[in-house]
Amino acid sequence: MTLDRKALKRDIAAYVSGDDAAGRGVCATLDVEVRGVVYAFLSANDPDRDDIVQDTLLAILQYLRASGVSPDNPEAFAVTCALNRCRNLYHWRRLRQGVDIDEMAGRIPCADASPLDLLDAQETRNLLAEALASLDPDCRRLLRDIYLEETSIEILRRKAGLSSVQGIYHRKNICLKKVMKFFNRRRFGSRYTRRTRR
Amino acid sequence: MTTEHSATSYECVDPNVGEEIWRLDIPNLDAVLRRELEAHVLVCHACRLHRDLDACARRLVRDGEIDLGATPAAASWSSGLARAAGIAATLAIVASLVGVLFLPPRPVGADMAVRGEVEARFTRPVEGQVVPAGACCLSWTEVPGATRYEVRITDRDGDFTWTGTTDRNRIDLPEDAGLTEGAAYKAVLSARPVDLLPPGRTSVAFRSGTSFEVAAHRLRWAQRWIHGLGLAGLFLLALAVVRWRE
Repeated sequence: MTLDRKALKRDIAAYVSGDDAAGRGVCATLDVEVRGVVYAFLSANDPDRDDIVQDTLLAILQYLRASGVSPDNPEAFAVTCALNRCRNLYHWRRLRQGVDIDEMAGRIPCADASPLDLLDAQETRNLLAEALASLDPDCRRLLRDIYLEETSIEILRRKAGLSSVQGIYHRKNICLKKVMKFFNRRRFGSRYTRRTRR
Repeated sequence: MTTEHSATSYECVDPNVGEEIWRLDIPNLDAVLRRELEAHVLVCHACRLHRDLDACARRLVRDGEIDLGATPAAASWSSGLARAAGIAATLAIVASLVGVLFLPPRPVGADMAVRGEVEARFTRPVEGQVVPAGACCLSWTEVPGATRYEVRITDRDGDFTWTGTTDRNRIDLPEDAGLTEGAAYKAVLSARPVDLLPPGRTSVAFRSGTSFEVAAHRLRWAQRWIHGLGLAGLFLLALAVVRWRE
């Protein structure tokens, strides 16, 4: 079935404006794309496939209402949402192999949970310590000033010789991206391969 | 049958918006933009991880569980090692390439006797070397007392002959000398006065080839220390790349 992009954008605009009925159109159109990637990621007998699809579509609707804007590419948006949820589920299962599921019942996060919630506190602390230790001296100094010294952004701007405080926030963002890259590489992987075991 | 997927990192659901989430740190951010960015963080695992790491790092550093003080010795050592390895790799690879291009290669076959070793020998080309079919240069060790040298080049079948004389210990073979690509030749050196060198004793066998064959021969038969230098350079380059990626 070919995706009707015009109809999709129309339904999204209507839903953002408050038309609940248009949400059904959005879900019906994106269901095909979302179901395709979820079914490709999870195995045929995975009991959570349909839940991931429903969870994704619901999250998209919630986003549209909360943000009040439509993504530039709704299909790519929906597909990436679905893939992230699949990854979340996969990581949770991989990191908890061999653990009695009943013991973890109170802690099993849904696919919508933050990736950091998949890790226990000690592991998070150790990984974060390593990630921060691997940063260059400039990043470490900046984060220390912000986190520990609580130096005002204005003072940091003057020390750095920047014309606006946004430059400091941007630099902090770059440092945190390095931390995230470290986490992705060490914990959540960086290369996709698919293995099939009979 | 079960299908496993290796772990893969989270992707931002809308990179155009995700690039702006740092603006959430700005206290007086426009309300409409804040609403959009906060909604994005809720739906995007990648950006939520980013924000959670920020909050978690802040908490752990303030609680003293993580020290952001002095630059850790291991990290600076590691980055310094990567930098040093990169520089050393570049120098080693460049030096080995220069050696391959400009220094004479080893004679082909370690057990082959180099002709004319005792009294005089050809230094260019060396035994078995591949030279360009066009102009090339022949040189040899000086013979004390020699006032003139004569070089005679023949092909294997004896159909080709070229003779040149010079008063220096080198001679340039002109382009129109007629060396054929892929053919094998032998150069014989004689000196004047004639009794300085035993006749036919100082000679070298070589081939002419294409530019690619010339380069391949140089690479294959470069001095062993050049090979070692090049391999060391490649190893250091790989080390630098691994450290850099970390």
